[in-house]
Amino acid sequence: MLATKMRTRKAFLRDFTGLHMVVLSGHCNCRCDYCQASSSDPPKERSSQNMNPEIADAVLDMIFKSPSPVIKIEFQGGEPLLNWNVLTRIVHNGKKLNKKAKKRLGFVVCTNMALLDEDKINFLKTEGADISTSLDGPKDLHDLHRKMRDGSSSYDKFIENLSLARSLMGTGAVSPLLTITKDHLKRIPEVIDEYIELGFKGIFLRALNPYGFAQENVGQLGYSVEEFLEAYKQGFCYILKKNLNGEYFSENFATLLLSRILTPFATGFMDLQSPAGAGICGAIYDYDGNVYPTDEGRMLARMGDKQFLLGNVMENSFEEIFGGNKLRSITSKSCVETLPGCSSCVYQTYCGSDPVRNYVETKDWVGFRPNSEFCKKNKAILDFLFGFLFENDDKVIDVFWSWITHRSLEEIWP
Amino acid sequence: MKTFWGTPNRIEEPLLGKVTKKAFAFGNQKTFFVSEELLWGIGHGAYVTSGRNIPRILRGKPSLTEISSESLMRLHEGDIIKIFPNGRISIVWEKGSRHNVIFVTDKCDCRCIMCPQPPDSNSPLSLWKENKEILLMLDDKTSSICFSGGEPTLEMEQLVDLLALCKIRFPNADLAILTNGVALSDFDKVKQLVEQRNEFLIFCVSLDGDTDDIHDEIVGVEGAFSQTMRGLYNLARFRCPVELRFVIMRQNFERLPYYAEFVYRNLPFVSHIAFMGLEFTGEAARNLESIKIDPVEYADSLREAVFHLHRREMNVSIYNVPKCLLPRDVWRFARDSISPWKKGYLDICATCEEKKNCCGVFETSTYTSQNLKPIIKGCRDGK
Repeated sequence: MLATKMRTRKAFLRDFTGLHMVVLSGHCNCRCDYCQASSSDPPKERSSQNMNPEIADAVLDMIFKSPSPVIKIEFQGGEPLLNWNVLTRIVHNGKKLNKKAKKRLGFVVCTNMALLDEDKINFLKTEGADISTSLDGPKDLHDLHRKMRDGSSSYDKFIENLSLARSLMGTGAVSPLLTITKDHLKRIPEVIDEYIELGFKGIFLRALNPYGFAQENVGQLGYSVEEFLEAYKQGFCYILKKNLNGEYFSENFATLLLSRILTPFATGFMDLQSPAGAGICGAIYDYDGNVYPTDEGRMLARMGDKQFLLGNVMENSFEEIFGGNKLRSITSKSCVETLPGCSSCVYQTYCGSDPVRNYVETKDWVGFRPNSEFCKKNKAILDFLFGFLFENDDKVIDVFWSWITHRSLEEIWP
Repeated sequence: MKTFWGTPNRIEEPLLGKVTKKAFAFGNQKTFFVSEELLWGIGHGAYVTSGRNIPRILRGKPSLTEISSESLMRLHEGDIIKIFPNGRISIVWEKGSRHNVIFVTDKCDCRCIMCPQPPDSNSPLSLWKENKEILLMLDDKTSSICFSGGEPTLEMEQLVDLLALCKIRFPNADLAILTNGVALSDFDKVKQLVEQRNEFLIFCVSLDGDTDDIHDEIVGVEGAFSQTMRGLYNLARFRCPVELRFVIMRQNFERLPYYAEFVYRNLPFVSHIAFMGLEFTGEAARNLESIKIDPVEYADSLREAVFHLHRREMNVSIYNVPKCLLPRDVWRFARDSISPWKKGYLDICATCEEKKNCCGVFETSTYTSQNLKPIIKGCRDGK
């Protein structure tokens, strides 16, 4: 029984790498203050940071070497729509390859949506691709740090294309991510209201990560863990109240942690797993064919540190990249069961590690827990959630279960 | 099993046949002609009547006479019955009922203290041939078939054979095997069964506690709990639908909420969990004093367990507990679970507005709760 439970808990390890992020372009039509990918202006000549077809084909071959029965290809950037031809090429060739491979193949496009038009949306709809995008709150807050390179409002374009995409693909096809800057901290409820008003069913309240422009502009954008926690708790309570009043809307970081606390199942979240999901659950292919275990590894490389580079699709084999010493080492050094500080932590079963983050904080994949912000933040949120579990208010617990099982309260208690 | 009596004529051995009310048959010995007055009939295996007289041409055939008209009315076209040399009639299969059971064997490897049908060690006869006959006689539109015993998995060869037959004859029927799960701890046996199943087979496995001491004490076999758990995991390996059955009694009622969490943590793959009230007959009647519990006493624990599982998106039901003994908010989980021939109501139930949605009580039980009250205006006692 113990073995079965362990297997269930670590089920994310069974299939090996399923999420494959492909950076179609290093360019972007936006120039957001916090861009973690340090994207550049759209290309003027042919020598661009767009992935070329030859590399794209090699990336696709590499992806199909993964033993995972489920393959999700996520188009990233920069702005992936700037390299539309290669995007469609990968989708078509991917489907062709899959006729033989017979995997569950899915596509996601991570885009600011500004370049979407009816033809592109129809293509995504026909091919069954989802859209992942960014929404930072009401117009002024959204436009504050999400800037179009041409100076126009990114919010207006977002709203316009959101309704276009929804009218063609259905409401569920677009899901947004929030990036919290210093300017958001006091205005989280407003952001939540914006999400609800636009018909989204949940939000992920996550702290800004120290990469790319976010690192360069940290004075202007950043905040302390304590400040974040205060805003998080305020936002969480605001959301909880909405739910208690009968409106289904989830906070997704809490949902993730509560699933780990209250259910026997594995939850897929690369940045908080043990061993870390880096490389073994997901991997990212840069436009030049370089492979990194996580998006953050790639961001770090863009900042000049190639510490996490696993290899290149044009030069290395699948075995070299995914079976090599570097990935083995990252994986074995990211098991919280053995990490100093984590191995004896009461929250170990619910937590995970992020070797890239550790490296950024300490220049060491193992990291140093006593002054780790990552650790401080996760512990505080777990403390906070356990407070609710300890109180064990029937109505609150119902809300938690409605998030975990994606059902409204009405579905649970008609 | 419903049984009646009549006066036997020329019945040399137990005979199995299908009820028909049409006098003509064309030499099909598998049909039994059933009629209030027996005036004539041709080509049947046997004749069953309320009257006293048998027409001369049928006197050489097996027959049963003088069956009460009331009993006779309970025999329907298409039912399968068995008649015995001593004049007994049993309804083996009631057409259209959801409660039909194929008794695979009388044998059992457990000795449950609440067993309503204790194994009969004096019945060495195999039921294999007869069960096969029943399955062959059944209408091919039959929608549900349940295999029980005894412990059906003790006759693995027969069970595999019957499943294979069902797979061909009833590819779309809901099949169920009621089992204590002990024999399923053998992976190869589970494999054999599963290879012959139609895709709608469900295993209904009894698990009466969340710990080995409680479960083993109830089923009377040391080590049964761990074997049943192994059996459940074997079923999971083959992605077999599984229903868990928990019979609530004095020995285990306090475990209900813990059982719910145990199931969610260790057996989250089960498709249904049934909490079952007791039928006080057989061993359960003999052990009445030690196992007896009024549902009112466990209602709160049961409610907690049901809610615990329901919140976690698990399917959960309550069987055999009348609604008036349950908290109002768990009524929606209470099912009309008692077979019609065992189901009864008290006189006071006449005024109850939930009667038609209620499982009633077991007429076979020697003990009934003293707390039954009609529901009036949505409440017990109208209060």
